[in-house]
Amino acid sequence: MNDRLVIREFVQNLLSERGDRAALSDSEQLAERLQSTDVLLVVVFLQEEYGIDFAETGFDLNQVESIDSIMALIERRRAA
Amino acid sequence: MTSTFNLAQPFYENSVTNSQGLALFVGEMRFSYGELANLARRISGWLGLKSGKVPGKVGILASRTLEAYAGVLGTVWSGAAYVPINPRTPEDRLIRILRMMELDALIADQAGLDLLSDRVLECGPSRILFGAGAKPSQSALGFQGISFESLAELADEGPDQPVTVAEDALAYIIFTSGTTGTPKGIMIETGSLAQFRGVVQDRCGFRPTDRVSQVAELTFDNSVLDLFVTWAGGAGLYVVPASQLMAPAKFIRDHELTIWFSVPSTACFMERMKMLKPGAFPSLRCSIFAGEALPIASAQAWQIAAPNSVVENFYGPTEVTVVCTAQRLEDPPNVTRNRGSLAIGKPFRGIQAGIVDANLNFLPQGEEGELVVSGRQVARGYYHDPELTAARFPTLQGRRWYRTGDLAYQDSSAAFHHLGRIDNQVKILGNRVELEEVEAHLRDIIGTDLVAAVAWPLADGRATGISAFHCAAGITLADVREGMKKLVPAYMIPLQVHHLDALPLGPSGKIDRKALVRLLDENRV
Repeated sequence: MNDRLVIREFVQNLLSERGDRAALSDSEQLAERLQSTDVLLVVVFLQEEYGIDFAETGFDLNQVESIDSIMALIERRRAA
Repeated sequence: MTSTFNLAQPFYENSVTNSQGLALFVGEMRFSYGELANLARRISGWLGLKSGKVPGKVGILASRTLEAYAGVLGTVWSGAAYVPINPRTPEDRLIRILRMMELDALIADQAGLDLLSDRVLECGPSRILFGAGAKPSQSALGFQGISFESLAELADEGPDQPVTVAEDALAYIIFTSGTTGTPKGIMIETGSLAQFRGVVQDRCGFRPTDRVSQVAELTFDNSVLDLFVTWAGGAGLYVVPASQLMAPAKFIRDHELTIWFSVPSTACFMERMKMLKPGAFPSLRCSIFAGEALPIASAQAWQIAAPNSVVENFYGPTEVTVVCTAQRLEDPPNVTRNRGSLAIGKPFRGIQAGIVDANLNFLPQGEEGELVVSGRQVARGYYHDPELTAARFPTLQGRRWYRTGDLAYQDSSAAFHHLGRIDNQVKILGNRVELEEVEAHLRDIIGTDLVAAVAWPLADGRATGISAFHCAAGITLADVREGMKKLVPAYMIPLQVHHLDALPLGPSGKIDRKALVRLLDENRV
């Protein structure tokens, strides 16, 4: 399945659990809408689904600041 | 040996004996003790000489920039008290604080300058100092009656040494959530800070070879330990960049930090991100956690990741100068019954702690009640609120105590255990929140008195957010969040908002928050 669709759906589900059903664009800053515990869920999801080891790469909020950034992170992991 | 209680005095002495030693690492830049002392002196000169009088209070509207740390040092060097204000403070709250404080000057970084609208400038001090790379807006520069000066253009003048300061002078004023909606300012004296610093220094032995984390915002008094114990020990302070704060494992390793200090949530997040691998942090020798309950599992996971480190659980309200009790992680650990968290341990040297009932009678060991604390570390009181000060700082048995509002008991080894709150204050990721404050703002936004807020959801027994309830029609989550964003810091904005036909009430007729939490736990909203 298209990775971008998977990520978008995951984030939208997190938001709608909070009752936030407003539209989400791929370049939008997620920090405005997600709490730190939600960011943690995104990180754990990326670890489990895409094998991204944040212990190795280090964690920086900029890596997950938007859906576009997350896609870039996944592509870098694939290229490595 | 001087008899001054100036907070910058130990820093200054280290700048003389070890001027090349690293004092501060921030934003990829390194500053030695000598360089930082020079900057502090010039800031002190700007504060004192130009105005012709010793300033009383200086606002630090900066975070994780040179302006923030040099601003604090320069302020205390000149004998004034510093008042940290987070640059992410919403405008209304910022205006309330400025009106209350009547500051003599403001030191700001770019993030702070960006907050200076006309409405804010009207209420703030007339002298503002900003950082070398920063730029005030054209509109701010043109505002009548305000003078701006850049750190880069400060004259090379100022007192050669930190000004002599008495032990009952004000050191800092830190704001915390107030039940009425107006934040309350906690006043801490230099003598209290000196007492606290001495105890921590004796326990942890900060020295010039140490590299210490700086994680807490200046508005969170954990930062007082970071700055003043580090600089008293001649050690280096390493500021973790904001974008890495959630899980800074790489920062710890890259800089081979030797001393770590954060809230337990950071350890919990790092554990979930699989960063606490065995031996991940060999350089750490002392790891301190404070600000929230420390789950045993997290403490032990951290110990495995930092095998050369002692792991300390410190406890204390802001009103007792950062922390006042300590419990080291041992094997077996001292566990708080029914909580799975580490005990808060024994009082610091110079602190007396006791458990009282609702009538302020002391209870015997083993019984549960409110924890009260006495000693030099106890605050002067709340800024411009003598009634609240009298209520929270009673005199019992001829001594002045602080009522922590924490439910606790003492075990047979004389260690204390924290069980929760006796009131409606909660901690959200280490930040203090009065639920009544959230409710006061919700009432204004929603336009009805029938509102309630609880801390929920919980993760490992710690609250991670606020959930709100109301009985009004046609209110959306977005309405509430937009409204709250203008009034309170991010951690106080409800994650969820639920409509109920009626709010559950307890036997006394007050809102039954436990019932609301049950509704959420059982998914019945």
